[in-house]
Amino acid sequence: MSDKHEEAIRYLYRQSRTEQPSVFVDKRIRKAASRALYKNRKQWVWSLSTAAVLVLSFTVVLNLVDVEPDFSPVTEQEELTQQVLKKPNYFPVLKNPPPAVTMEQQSLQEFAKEEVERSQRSKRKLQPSSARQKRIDETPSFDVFESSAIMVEHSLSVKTTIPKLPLQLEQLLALDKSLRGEQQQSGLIKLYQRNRLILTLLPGESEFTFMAWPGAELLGVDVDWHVSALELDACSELKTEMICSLTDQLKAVFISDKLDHVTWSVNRE
Amino acid sequence: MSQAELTDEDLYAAYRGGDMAAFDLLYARYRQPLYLFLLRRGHSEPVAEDVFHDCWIKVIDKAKSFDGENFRAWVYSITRNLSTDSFRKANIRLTEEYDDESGSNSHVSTEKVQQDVDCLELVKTSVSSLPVEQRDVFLLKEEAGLSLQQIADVMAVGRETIKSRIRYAMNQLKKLMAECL
Repeated sequence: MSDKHEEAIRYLYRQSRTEQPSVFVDKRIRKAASRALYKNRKQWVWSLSTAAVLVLSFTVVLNLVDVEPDFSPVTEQEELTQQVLKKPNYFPVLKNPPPAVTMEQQSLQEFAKEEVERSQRSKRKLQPSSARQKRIDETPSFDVFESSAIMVEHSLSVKTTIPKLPLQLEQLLALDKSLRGEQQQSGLIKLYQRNRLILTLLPGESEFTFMAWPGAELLGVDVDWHVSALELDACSELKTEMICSLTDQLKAVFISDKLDHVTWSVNRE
Repeated sequence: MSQAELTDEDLYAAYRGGDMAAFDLLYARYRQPLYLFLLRRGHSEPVAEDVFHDCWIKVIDKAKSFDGENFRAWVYSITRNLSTDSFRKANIRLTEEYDDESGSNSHVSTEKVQQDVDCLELVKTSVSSLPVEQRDVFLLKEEAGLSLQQIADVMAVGRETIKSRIRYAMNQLKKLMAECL
């Protein structure tokens, strides 16, 4: 009986359940729930974006900073050895690998070796063999050989018209401003141009000696040099110079096998 | 398995994962029971709606306080606490003198029950006139569908106490609704 009344009460209670919340409350609650989801998504996206920015920034910084990689001192040989050891047994295994040398050390050693070889080659050039040394001693130097060639092959011609020269030093110096001259107590006049003696003249004698150097233009006199080797037969050799007679008046003076100058012995009359 | 077949806990987890449809389904399941629980507990409709709204806001925001085991007990616990707070703010005394031994309530007067009212209205007023502990036990059992143990957990009392309160509540309702029985 009691249970029957309780069932009736429960039935009446279930039948009385007719009230519902307003639609307005429903919308408010649903809007709040949706907003919360959007907020969570926004936070998630923000967190992800922040993490991405941090990772990118870290990567950029790593690329900008010149960080030298910390290479472990594992040599190429060791790596190869380790690779071989990891391989199956049918690969040969280096039981006694050569001593560990880094790539840098190997490069330096090769460079040093090349430097030593280069130095040894240079010493061999500086210290010739006895046969080579003898050959060098017998061969004249380049300068000497060249000088000889000039003397033999170079031909000179001298054409001159010697005007009548004044016999007074002052008159001679007046001919050209570049001239310098002196007259000794014996009366001998020496005339210099660019510190070279070009004229000796003794006023009381009938002859004077005029000296000219190749390419020189002296006292307004055109000098055309042409000395043929064939004309070098009559030569007298002194201590430091050799004088060859070109004509009766014209002589070529060689000093140390070089044509130094020519002289004219001109009869004033 | 369709969403309608999912448990409350699965739906709530799906909502927390971003599935708004799961929330809609969960809301539909608890919309009327929670609201009626508040109404039968003695709130007026406007106040019941406010507390109802606040209850769902807590469900939405306070996911961390959910242990993931029993959504129903958790949501009714929230609702009951909010309802109690509402009564306190309105300075309405809920803790009435109650004698577990006799099951009598000196403040509940059967004279207030109008004899000529509809039985459906009578059951409403009768439930509302129950002492608060008996009323809560009755509502949590009949409205929320919680088990005795779940009710004991929500109200933080022993299971036997819940059983006795249910018995007292039923006896009181029988007296109040005698004319309809």
